[in-house]
Amino acid sequence: MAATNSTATSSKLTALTMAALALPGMVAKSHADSPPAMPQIDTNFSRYEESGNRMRIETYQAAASLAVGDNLGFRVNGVKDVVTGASPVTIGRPGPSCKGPSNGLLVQCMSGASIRDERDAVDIGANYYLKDVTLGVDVGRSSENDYTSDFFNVDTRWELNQKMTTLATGFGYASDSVWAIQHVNGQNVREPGVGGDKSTHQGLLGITQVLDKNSLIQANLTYANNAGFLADPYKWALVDNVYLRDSRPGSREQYGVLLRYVRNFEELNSAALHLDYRFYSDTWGVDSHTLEVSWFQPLAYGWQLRPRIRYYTQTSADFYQPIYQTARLDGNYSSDYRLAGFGAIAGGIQLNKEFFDRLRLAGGVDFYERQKGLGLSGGAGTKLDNFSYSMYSFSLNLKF
Amino acid sequence: MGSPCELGLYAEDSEMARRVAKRIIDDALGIEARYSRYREDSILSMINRKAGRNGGIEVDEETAGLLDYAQTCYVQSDGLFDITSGILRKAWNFQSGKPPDAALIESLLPMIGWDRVVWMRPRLAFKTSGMELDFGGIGKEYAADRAATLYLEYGIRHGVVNFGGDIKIIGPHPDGSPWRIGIRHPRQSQHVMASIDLGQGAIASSGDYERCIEIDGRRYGHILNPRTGWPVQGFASVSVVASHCLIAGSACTIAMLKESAGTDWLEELWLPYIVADDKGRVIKRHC
Amino acid sequence: MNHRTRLLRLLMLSAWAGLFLSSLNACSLKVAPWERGNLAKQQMALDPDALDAALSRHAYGSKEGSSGGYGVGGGGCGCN
Repeated sequence: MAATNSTATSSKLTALTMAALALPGMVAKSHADSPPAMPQIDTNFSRYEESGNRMRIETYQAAASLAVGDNLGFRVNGVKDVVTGASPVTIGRPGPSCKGPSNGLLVQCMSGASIRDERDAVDIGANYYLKDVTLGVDVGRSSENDYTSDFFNVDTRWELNQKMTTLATGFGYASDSVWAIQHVNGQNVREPGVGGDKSTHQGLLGITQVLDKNSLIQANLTYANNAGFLADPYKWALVDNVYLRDSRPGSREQYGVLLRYVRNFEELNSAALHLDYRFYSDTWGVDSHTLEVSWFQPLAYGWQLRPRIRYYTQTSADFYQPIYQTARLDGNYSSDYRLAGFGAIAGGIQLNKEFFDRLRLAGGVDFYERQKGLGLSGGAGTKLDNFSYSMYSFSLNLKF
Repeated sequence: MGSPCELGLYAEDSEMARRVAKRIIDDALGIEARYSRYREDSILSMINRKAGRNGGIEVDEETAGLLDYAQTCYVQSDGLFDITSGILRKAWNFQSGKPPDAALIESLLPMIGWDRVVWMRPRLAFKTSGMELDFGGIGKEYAADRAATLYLEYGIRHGVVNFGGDIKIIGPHPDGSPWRIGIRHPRQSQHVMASIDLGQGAIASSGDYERCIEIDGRRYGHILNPRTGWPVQGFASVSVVASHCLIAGSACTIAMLKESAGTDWLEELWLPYIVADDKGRVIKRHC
Repeated sequence: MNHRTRLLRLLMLSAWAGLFLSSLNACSLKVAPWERGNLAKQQMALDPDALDAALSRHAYGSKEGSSGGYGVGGGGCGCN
C-alpha cells in the first residue's frame, strides 16, 4: 500500500494522522514499553550430544512471567542440566595413564566416562516500566556438585528520539566457588586444596537505532572483569613430561563489541534477516570473531521456519600450549581446548507454529563442528581437540 | 450508529469472541451515547446548547481530540470539511424527496463556518448563536478504529471491523492471505465496482448513492458544500485506503467536497484510492 | 600482539561503530509510530525466541574461549 510504502510523506497526511492518533484508544499499547499483557509460560527441553561418545547434556528450562498493574512485570526462570559422559582432561603422551584419541605422538586424555553432574539454576527478575525508561533487576543462583554461582544484574533501557533510539546499560556481579569432586569407593568426595572462589563484574553499554520502518541496528559494548580462581580444577597440562594442574592468571578482563542488524522483507511474507557480528578480546590474548546469520520465514497458518548459520574463529591464549616442552616463568599452564586457536562452523534449523496467538510449539536441531583447521586467527592448538556436537530442542510457549 | 455493523475475527473459542465483541459493542455504544445529536443527554447536545452562551463551554479530553481532528480536516480541506455544516439538515430532507427551500438554505449559511468558532483547548465557544456541531463524518470511523485497538489488546491479530462500510483490518487471515474488500457500484447497488486486497490498514467509501434526492432530473447527494449549502456535484463514489478508518473516511469526504479537484487533493495524500465519476468511469490509483 | 595494541584496536572498532550509528541517525528519516508495524513483528525482535537464544549462547560459551556482547548476567558454570 502506498499508505505505508512511500518514503515521501505528505504533509496533509501527516497532519491528519497526528490529529487522529492523538485521540484515545487509537493505538494499542505496544510491547516494547509495557509489561506483557498476559501471563506467559515458556518451557524448553533440549538434548546436547558431543561426538565420540563424550558429553551428553539434557536441559529442562521453564520460565513464567506475570504483570502486576501497568508498570511492573515479574519473571521466574529455572534450568536443570543433567550432564553425563566424559570430558577431555589434557593432551599427553601415549601411555597407560592417558587413553583417548591419538595421533601417535600425542593423545587427548579423557576423564573416565563416569561423570554425572546436575546443574540447577533459578533466577527471579522484575522490570519496572516508566514512561521512557525501563528498569530491570534479576537475582539468581546456579549450583552443581562442584560449582556454585550467585549473581545479580541490573539494567536500564531508555527510549529517546521519539522511540527511534534505545540506550541500554547493564551491570552484573557474580560470586562463584569452584572445586573438584573425586569418586572414591562409589562416593563423591571433595578433592582437598583444589579450586577456589572467583568474582565477576560485568558492564554493558548498548544502543539500538531504528533505521527505517523495516530495519534496525544495535551496537553493544561489554566489559567483564574476572578475579580469583579462574583455572579448571579437573584439567592438567603436560609440562616437561610432568603432569601439572591447570593454572591460569588470577584476573581476566574481557571486551566485546556486538553489532546486530535486523531487516524485514515485506515482499517475502515479512521474513526477517538477522545479522550478528561480534568481536571479542581479552587480556589472556584470546581474540575472536563471530558471524551469525539467521532468517525467520513466516509461512501460512502460523508456521515459521528459521534456518541459521554461524562461524567462529579464535586465537589461543598467550599461555596455552597443547603440551609444554619447558616450564614457564609465570607458572601458567593450560591445555584446555577452549583456550586453543581454532574455528567452528555451526548451523541449525527451527520450525515453529503458533496457534490462536496463544500457544507456540517449536522444534529445532543445531550442529556444531569445531576444527583446528577452520580457525583463521592463528595460535597454538591441536587437531586432537576437534569435535562436533548436535543439539535437539523442543519448546512450548503459552500465553493465558 | 444507524448503519449495519459487522465484526469478523479469528479467536481461540467462541467464548473469547463473544467477550471481545461485547466489549467492542459497549465501546461503540458509548461513543454514540456521547456524540449522538439525537440524544438530549449527549456531550454533543450539551455543547450545542451551551457553546453559544457567554464564555462557551469547557470540554473533556476525548471531545477536545475530536475537535482538534475536525479542525485539522477543516484546514487541510481549505475550509470544505466543516463540522458546523450539519445544521443544513434543517433544509435538506433526503427521505421526503422534496426539493429544499432555497430561502431557508440562505438563512442557515450565516450559522455555518468553523471560522465562527473559537476553539482554545479546552474551551469552545460559538461566535454566532444558533450554531451546531455534528460529528457525523467522524464518530463512526473513530469507533471503528477503537474497535480494532480493542481487538489487538485482547491478543486478536486476525480480523476485520466493518462499521457501515468503514472497514478496518486488524490483520490478514491466519494463513497470511489478505481480506478481499468489494467496493459497491454507485449505480447498481448489487454490483461490485472494484475489489481490493488488504492485509492491514483501513478503507472507507463515500458516494452520492448513500442518501440522495433527485430534483428536475438532477441527482443530489447528501454531501453538502458548507459555503453554498447545496450538495456537491463531484464523484459518484470515492474509496480511500489509509492506516486508520478516521483518515480514510475524512479523505473520502474531502475528495467528494473538492468536486473536480478531488483527485488532485487525493494525490497529495499519497494514499491508494478508487473513484468513479458520474459517467461510471473508474480511476484506480496507487492500489 | 600486546594488550595495549589490542585494546587500542577495540576502542577504534567501537568508535567506528558509534560514528556509523550517529551518521545513520542524522540522515535517516523519522519513522512515525504508525509506520512501526513491521518493526513490532515478533520475527523483528532482536531475540525472537529468547529461551532458544540463551540455550545456544550457553552452549557456545561453554565450548569457546569468548563470552559477552549480548548482555550481562547469567550465572557461571563449571562446564567441562
